[in-house]
Amino acid sequence: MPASSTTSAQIETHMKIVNLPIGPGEAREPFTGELVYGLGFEATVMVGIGGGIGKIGNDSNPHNPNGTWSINQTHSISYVKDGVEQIPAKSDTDVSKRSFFNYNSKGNYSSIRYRDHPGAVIGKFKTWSSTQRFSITASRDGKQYCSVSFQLDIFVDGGEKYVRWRRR
Amino acid sequence: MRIFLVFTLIMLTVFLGGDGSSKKEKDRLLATSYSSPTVSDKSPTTQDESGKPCLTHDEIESALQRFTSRNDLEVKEANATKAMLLDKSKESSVCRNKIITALMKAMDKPHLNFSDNMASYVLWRYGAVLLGELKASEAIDLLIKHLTLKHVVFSGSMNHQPALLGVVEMGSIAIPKLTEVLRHNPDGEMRFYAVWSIATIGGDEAVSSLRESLESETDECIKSAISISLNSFDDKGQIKNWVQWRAIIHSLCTE
Repeated sequence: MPASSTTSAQIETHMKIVNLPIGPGEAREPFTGELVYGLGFEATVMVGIGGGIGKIGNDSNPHNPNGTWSINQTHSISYVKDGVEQIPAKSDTDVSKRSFFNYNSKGNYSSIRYRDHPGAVIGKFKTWSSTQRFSITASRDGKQYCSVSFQLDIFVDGGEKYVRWRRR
Repeated sequence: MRIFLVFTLIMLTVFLGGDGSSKKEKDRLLATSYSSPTVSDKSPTTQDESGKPCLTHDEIESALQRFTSRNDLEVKEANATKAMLLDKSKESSVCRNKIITALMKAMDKPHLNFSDNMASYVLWRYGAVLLGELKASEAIDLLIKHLTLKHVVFSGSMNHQPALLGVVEMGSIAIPKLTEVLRHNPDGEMRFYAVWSIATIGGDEAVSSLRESLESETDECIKSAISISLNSFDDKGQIKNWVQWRAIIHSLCTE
């Protein structure tokens, strides 16, 4: 079920304000304004019967706690910062009730749309190379029904930098 | 050219079929904790007032090490470990104190640098939220001290700033200390995230705190953040439109 036109318009307005542009490029940290080099993307998840979305990441949906659907984004990363390889981070939940999201509440919380801009804060290193793997899933009663996965590579070395991504 | 990545997942009619995997995982972790005490574990398993056994110090440390293992740890297991510690903490005040003390000791290290020490980041990522869920008032100072400490990898979920998430999870018990930060801390970023935390927690105390701090705030940007937050509350002191508030606050001081 698509989001209602009112909700879509509201989301659109708010998303324009968000300093997290879609596509490869730079966003900014709140307050400090530090540049974050990475990839902006937006995810829209729609679910069918089952009382709508009751959980985002590890958080209960306070507006619809009895919804049987769980939406999750998991993330893992391995990176080399200033020539030093760091311990890879395990697959971790990377979306929450604190994320930039909006529900379609008129559709019984049957859809959610959120925006993210994963990336590295440039200025905190001289060289950077990272691979991040993301999975966005929709589950119900512990069973995963739908997912999309992609990989994001970021490289920074002085003035040279690039972002590369592909579906997995 | 802007390149859009829009993932639309359309879910149709499905069948129920829960496998209860998270409960099984928690039970397995509990069983592991009890059946495999380490050789160095000399402390007896304490019992609470209801006679239920608590974890030993070694068992708690072993559980905390699950967050910082070098081996890839599935998110399900990390969450199950956190849930197990939360469950044990709820069984008795003795056990709760023991877990909070061990957790704070593990987290409170000098010269923390999440970007160069992923193990410490992951411990904070789970530990801060666990302390928040436990409403561990004794940990508020520790979390607030690290309120602006971030991992170099940004996430829209704010997971890269774990103390912030922990403080917010604490709820209203954190507001007095956050109000102190807002009124007296010379660091603008600390005051900004104090506003962020207070507004996110919400409630009557949050409204009073922000209203009373408005006059004394000298930074125009932080003053705006306070005003916008006050105007974003509903009659219960909760943010009416989360994404709108978050969007404005996020961009407020960076333009």
